[in-house]
Amino acid sequence: MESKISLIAITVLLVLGGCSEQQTDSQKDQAHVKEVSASNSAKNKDESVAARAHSIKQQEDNAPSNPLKNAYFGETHMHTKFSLDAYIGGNRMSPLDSLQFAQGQEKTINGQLHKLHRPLDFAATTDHAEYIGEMYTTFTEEALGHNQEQLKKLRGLTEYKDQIHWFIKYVISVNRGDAKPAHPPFYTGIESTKSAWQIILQATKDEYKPGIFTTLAAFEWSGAPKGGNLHRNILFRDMVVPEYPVGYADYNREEALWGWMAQQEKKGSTLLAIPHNSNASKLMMFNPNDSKGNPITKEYAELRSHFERTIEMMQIKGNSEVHRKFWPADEFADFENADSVADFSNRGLDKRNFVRWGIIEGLKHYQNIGVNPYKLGFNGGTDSHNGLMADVAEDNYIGGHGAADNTPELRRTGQVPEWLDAKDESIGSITGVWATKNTRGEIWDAMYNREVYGTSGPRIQVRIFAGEHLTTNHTDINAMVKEGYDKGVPMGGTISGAVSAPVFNVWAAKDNIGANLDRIQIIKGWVDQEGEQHEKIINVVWSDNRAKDKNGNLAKVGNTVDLTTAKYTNEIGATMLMGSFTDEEFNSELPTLYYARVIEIPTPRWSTYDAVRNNLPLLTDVQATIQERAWSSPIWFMPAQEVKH
Amino acid sequence: MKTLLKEPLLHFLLLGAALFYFYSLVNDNQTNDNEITLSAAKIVQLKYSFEKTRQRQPTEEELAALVNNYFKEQVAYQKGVEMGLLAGDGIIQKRIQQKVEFIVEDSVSRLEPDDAELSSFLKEHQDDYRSEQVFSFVQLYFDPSKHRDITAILTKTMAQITALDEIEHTAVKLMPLSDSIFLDYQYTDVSYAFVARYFGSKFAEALVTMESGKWLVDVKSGYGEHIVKLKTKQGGELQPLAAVRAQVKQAWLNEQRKQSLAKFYQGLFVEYQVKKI
Repeated sequence: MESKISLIAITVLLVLGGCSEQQTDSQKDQAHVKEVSASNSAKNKDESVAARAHSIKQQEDNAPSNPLKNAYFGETHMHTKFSLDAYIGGNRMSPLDSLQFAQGQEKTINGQLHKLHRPLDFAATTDHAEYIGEMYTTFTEEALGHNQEQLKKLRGLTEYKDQIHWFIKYVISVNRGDAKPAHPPFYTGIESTKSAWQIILQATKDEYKPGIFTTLAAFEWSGAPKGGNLHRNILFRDMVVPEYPVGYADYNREEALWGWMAQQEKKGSTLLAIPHNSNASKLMMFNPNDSKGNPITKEYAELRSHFERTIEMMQIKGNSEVHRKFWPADEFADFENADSVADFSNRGLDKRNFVRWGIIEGLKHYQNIGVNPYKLGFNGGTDSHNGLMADVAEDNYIGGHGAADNTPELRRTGQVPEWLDAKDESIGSITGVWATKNTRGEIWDAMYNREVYGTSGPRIQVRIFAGEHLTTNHTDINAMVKEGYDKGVPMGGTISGAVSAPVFNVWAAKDNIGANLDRIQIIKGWVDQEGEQHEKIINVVWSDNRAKDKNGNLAKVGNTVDLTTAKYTNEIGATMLMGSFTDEEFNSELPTLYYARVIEIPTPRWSTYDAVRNNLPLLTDVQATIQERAWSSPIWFMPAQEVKH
Repeated sequence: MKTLLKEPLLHFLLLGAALFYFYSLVNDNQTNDNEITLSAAKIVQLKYSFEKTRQRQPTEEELAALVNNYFKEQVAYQKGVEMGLLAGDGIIQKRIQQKVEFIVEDSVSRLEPDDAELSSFLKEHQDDYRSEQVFSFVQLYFDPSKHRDITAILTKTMAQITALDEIEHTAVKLMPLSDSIFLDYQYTDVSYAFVARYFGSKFAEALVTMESGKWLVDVKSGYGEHIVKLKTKQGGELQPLAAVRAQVKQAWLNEQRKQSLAKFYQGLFVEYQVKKI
């Protein structure tokens, strides 16, 4: 009591008196430590940070450069332990671990050592922004709230059924229902989110090696109103980034997200958004109405197409290009359709959820409002929840969703909760970009300019150039590329007001450790004056001297896969294909788009490798062999007066 | 007096005094320093951290609350210490260990090694400072899917090459003998990683073991067959200090840090008579 009184008295005195230099021993000690640590961190800041920035700039300037551009391959969609759903499934990979895995280092995941066949050129970790703060609290001992009961439970989850229960309770019910999305009760506040973001950014900074390996700061905004997937990955061009990333609880619809992105631009950030899984969007990805139910406007389309330059074509939860049911005339539409995606969260199956439908529909919006809201290039990603960057080799697949699919048996019979049957998992795709050098600026710019493409895994190189005055049937790729840049546009480009038939030059080279190529196709899409969609598939160049029939179709390339050994040979197919197409049916009045699709010869699907390795019968309800492929971004031909973006 | 004895306030005061006496007995009474003070510097620091998070100055009320919170923290901490709550707390112990190590390490980071020290460090860790291996070579590509008998084509092409004078070994003369792909005829000073990226690692490995100055038939890549002549192989040599000074200095400092910590702990182990069981 007396001490309390004296304390109050001193307090009052001190506050009134302003200050006093009198210190206790412990305070003196603390002050000393602070002084030491302050001078130390200040010194580090001055020397190493500034020196590093300078040296990074120098390395970027000195990185080898090719004016005709190289294809660089990387990952733009992948989760570490900072994603709650990944952590629940047993993922303990940090962002640093994942970036090192991307460069070829061996890492342990689900108790197995795992390694890529070859390093990537660039990578971004995209954790669900919604929960990174919670995750920081969960695995950082010093964090405020670390010892909450719920988090103790979370850390102790080992039984799969408990993991699922947790996932449903704190992820699905909070974020896919009608209720306003919210943080779970164990969230301790924005400081935890900021701390998590700093750890993610630090790994991004530490692993950047200009000219060799590029890292991009990124996160995933995971909006899914009423279970319709509207997820977007946000990628930054440089390290001018906001204090913390935003999630579904901050902005519950995509327009608000774009609004936030516009604010970041004003603050100096340079960023884009990559949507994915339109196949699970319940008609919301390519909706003719905005989130309030009003028809989309020119302003909406301008904002959207300013930030959304490319879409993830395919990932572990299926291929979004087309579905065999709605594209029976496309002989390659039956590829990783992941039918069971439709069975969960009342998603259903609808043509209007697929990318080809969406990009052609964009032309109709252009006719109506003067701006194309879906002017999208194509890229790839895995959405691996195991922290495994671009782990897309069919013969090296060990699952993508922690405990849901980490054994051959689970991959044959299990499910990824609320998403799909494990046997339907496509294992994901990879992004290719055409860039002069491997630096942040060049890689990001390629995505922004849509000089980007996706492949279902193999590192196929594909180029397409278009122009009214290109020469056809080049034999030298360098000449084709030079002319393409001089007189035409590359993938992702737009030609306005063309009058004569456009010429397309296409080229593709096989993956240098992969399978040969079957053919290159051009897919043409357009809308007529009534706004009706049309499309046509043209076989442009193919292997093995096959002849086209009168409908332009080719005989199948063949299949060398031995299903008992899961081996194929490159006796069929071509290592490289180069050809031209002139569209004599071109109508300059109608907005039209064209993209190239490169098809590989048949190779074993991952499920076949799994079966052979483990001496199990082949699954009967998934394909035993697949034809992997690459999709170039489209080239657009617009009637004059197209507004450029 | 009777009424005074019945007065609850007196009971309370007596009880408080008893408690205080009791605590001073159990607590070894090292400092018994019950004065909690607040320096001007501390107020500035409180204000600063507020401004950093809120982007504005605290109001008078807010400042008072900050000060109050600070005192709460301090008294709770002091009381906690007195009650012996520090003992056995893993987080606090870890933090104290970090602080101690920090002070030890700090003395090292002020060191400025001279060139002689760095040179000898460089010599001791040669393998960390070798330059990257780079290759210069020319190559011709042959597509197995385009020839029924690829070996015959390779042999024939090799004969054509050797029939030419060396001065005629140019891209213009030789490329037409080969099949078209995106690869160039000539590569100058390209790294191992570069070769592996464009040709596959099998081809890059072949360059490592290849003798320079000779045409070699039948070098395999992921695309097919190549006829290759390695011109020069460079790199792998130890770099001079000037080229890697910053890295060497960093590594040297890390080493000193490690050593001084080791020495520090060695001393402490003796001081506290730590014995391994």
